[in-house]
This record gives sequence, structure tokens and C-alpha cells, in this order.
Amino acid sequence: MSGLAVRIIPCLDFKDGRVVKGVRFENLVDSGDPLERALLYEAQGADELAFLDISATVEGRKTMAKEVARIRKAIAIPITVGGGIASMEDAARLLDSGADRVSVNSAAVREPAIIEAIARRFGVQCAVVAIDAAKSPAMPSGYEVKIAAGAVATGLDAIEWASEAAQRGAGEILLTSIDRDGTNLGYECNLIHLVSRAVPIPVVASGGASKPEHFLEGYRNGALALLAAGIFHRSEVSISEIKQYLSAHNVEVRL
Amino acid sequence: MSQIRTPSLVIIETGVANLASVRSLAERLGLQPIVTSDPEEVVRAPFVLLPGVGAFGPAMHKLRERGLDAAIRSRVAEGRPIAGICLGMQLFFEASEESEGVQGLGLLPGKVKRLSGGLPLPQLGWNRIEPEPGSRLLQAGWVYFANSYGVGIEQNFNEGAADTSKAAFPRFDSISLATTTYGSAFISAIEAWRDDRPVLLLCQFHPELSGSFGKNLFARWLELASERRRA
Repeated sequence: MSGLAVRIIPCLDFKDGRVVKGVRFENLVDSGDPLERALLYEAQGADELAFLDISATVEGRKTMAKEVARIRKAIAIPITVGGGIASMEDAARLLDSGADRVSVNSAAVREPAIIEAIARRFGVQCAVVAIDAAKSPAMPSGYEVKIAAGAVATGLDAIEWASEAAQRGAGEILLTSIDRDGTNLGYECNLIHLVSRAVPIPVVASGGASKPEHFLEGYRNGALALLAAGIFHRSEVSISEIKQYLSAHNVEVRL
Repeated sequence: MSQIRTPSLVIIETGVANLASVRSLAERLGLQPIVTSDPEEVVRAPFVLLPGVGAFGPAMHKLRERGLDAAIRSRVAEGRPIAGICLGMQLFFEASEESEGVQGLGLLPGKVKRLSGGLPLPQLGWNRIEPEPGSRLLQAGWVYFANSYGVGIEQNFNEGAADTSKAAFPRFDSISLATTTYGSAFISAIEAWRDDRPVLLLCQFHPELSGSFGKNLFARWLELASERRRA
């Protein structure tokens, strides 16, 4: 018996201080004030919040840190922040602003030692490695790691990279399927299954969930946390609805 | 001497912690968070919090370097309230598997161990705490954990008192525990009382990230641990 509840994590994609959401990493739509969103999700029973900064400018990144600080004061659940973290300084600034954990993506691929550095300085629970994976028949597992918001193929096998990240001290893998992101088709369950089996740390499923059934599938394939963005932003499904559904299927949730 | 009007919560600064969340907890409780590494302040303050930070060894090293270990011991010896969160709880014990050979504060008997049970580590997320009957502060509920280490439920808090050849642990009138299961059971919280005050409130979970549950727990602790109650 685990006892631990599966986490439902709404993700807020930020661009210059506003919440946005795209399809397959493109076509961004403004979805409102982040603080308002964060408070709504906390009230609905979100177990944690994920923020992803997709600002491309220095100005945008400064705005991000300010937003994290403002939201930190208002809510009392964990916050994980990622997007564009390229150095220990970036990580420290966001943690000082009130993030509880940081996720590194492209920077970890380019310079894997950043994983060890974050884990050593802030603890393994703080070091989340975000992996964006896309189907690729050329890879042993059938999935390739992409970086720079999906624009650059790395030639890395997603399962091998996840294992290396865990060995280097990552405390969690945030696993996004680029093929499924924003499509509403459900999580890429095979990918979740393969990575969950390969690493001794928790895996967060991300990309494509639009119905309570998708969350159950993600859980049954080994994810300990289930992330979604668009369906929550558009209020298509509430967090409490998903939790009721999971609970009815004997999955431990915090109700 | 400056006069502090708002009641304060002194948060021990160990140099590596992210303190925004515990500061926010203090503010939600109507307290002014004061972050300090001054041992004098840690001895004198009405309420002190030792937050969860990095790894056992480096954290103990930082505490010793600044004389904060002695400050915490003298606080506890005088029966003045202190809370510990996550690693801040673990440091109260004698040692930890996380940093072999490093002595902890040694205010409670036992050694912190890596969580067993074959589940993914760290334990990340919400789990239930179950207080044992007789707990006055701790209540059952969902709380947020982020830990790979903990104290097993086999730990006996009376063993130090019986064996005088061992280190002398501070006297408490009563100790109550809460437990949690993640693969196997571990101690998720401790309340230790002396002279009708909860001198220690130790949480393996993060009350500052546990929504209203964490806030309410700390509000009860502050009320019961308050000097005014004894006046």
C-alpha cells in the first residue's frame, strides 16, 4: 500500500506575465491573469501547480519571477517552475521568488551537470527534469528527446535520457509527449509506461489529457502525477471532477 | 533596543534553504517572519522554526559553524517552543543514513533512515497522517511530503531515559506521534510536551505547502505554546 495520493497538476504556461496555451507548442491563446487562475485551481483541489515560462526575452523572465512571488504569497500548495532555466542563478532566482521546485529541460540536455548541481544545493526533491519526447522510429525506445520547445531534435533516446537524469540526481521526471500536447487525444501511455518502468523516481505525465478517462490511463501506466493545461484553462473539466472519477476507480486521491 | 510590535516567528537561516514558502506561512498566521542566523535571537525568540533544507550533513555543518546547534539545545532545555519541518525535523535526531558519521542535534533518540518499501523516491505528494490517541496538537488529514528519508515507527522515545550510559535527552512530560505509510510506515510528526506546553512540533511533511491543514496546525501550536497561556 502506497497511501500516497496521485497528484493532479494544472500547468500554467506564461508569456510575459500572462497565461497562454497553444496546440503542439504553437498557436498561443491568452487565458488570463495567472493569480486568478492559481487561486481557482487551488480551490478546486489542485495538488500542485506547474508554471512554464515560454517568454523569449530577459524582460519576460523578470516578469516571471515577480509573478511567482505574487502567487506564492497567495497559495499554500507546491509550485514547480520551468522554462528557460539555463543556469544555477536562474534556478536560485526562481526558488528565492517562491518556487518550491524547478524543472530544467534544454539546459539539462546541453549541460547535464546542472542536474547534480541543483540536487546538491537544493535537494533532489527540488530537481525536476522536464523531457519533451516525440515519436521517432530511429530510437531504440521509439521516442526521441527534443529541446528548445520541441524545435531541436537531440538524437537522444527518451528512456535512456530519463535514466541518466535520475542517476544524476533528478527527483522527478516531467514527461511531455510533443505528439499529444494540446491535441486532447490523451496521454502517450506507452511512453509513460516505458519511462516509469525505467526510473526509480516519480514520473509526471503531460500532454494530451482532456477527459477523466485519460487521467486514469496515465495513472495505470505508471505516472504518479498527472498534468494538464488547456482543459483546465478552458474550464472543460474541473479538477474535482477528475478526482471523483479516479476515486470511483479506486485510485487514491486527496478529496 | 527596537520594539517589535507584530508577534514574530524566527526562522533559522542555514544558508541553503528556500524560505519563501515558510515566510508566507508566517504571514498567513499574522506573524512577522524574521530570518536569522544569530544564535542569541534563536535562544530568546518566542517562537522558532527550523525549516527543511538540503541534506543532513551540510545542514548540521551550517548549524554548528554558527553556534546554532547550541542555541537550539538551550532553547529546548529551557522548554521554549521550536518547530522543525522536513529535514528540520530529522536534525533533532542523533544521526541519519543520508550523511553517515555526522552527529545530529541529538535531542531525540534514534537515526533517520532511507524510506523502504520499493516505491519511487523521493516520496512526492499528498499522504495522510494518523495521530496516535492522546495527541493534542496533531490531527488526521492530508499533508504534502517531499522526502526520501524518515524515522521508522519502531523508534522508542523512552530508551534514552532508561539507559544512563547513553546521551542524556531532554525531559518531556509526554511525546505523541503521527504516522504515515509510504511502502512502509514512518513517523510523520511529533509533538513533545513539557509543563503543559508543546515544546516541540516536528513535521516530516511541509505544513507551509499543505493548504489550510498546515496553517491550522501551526495556529494551534502557537496558541498552546504561547507564554501568555501560563500567565
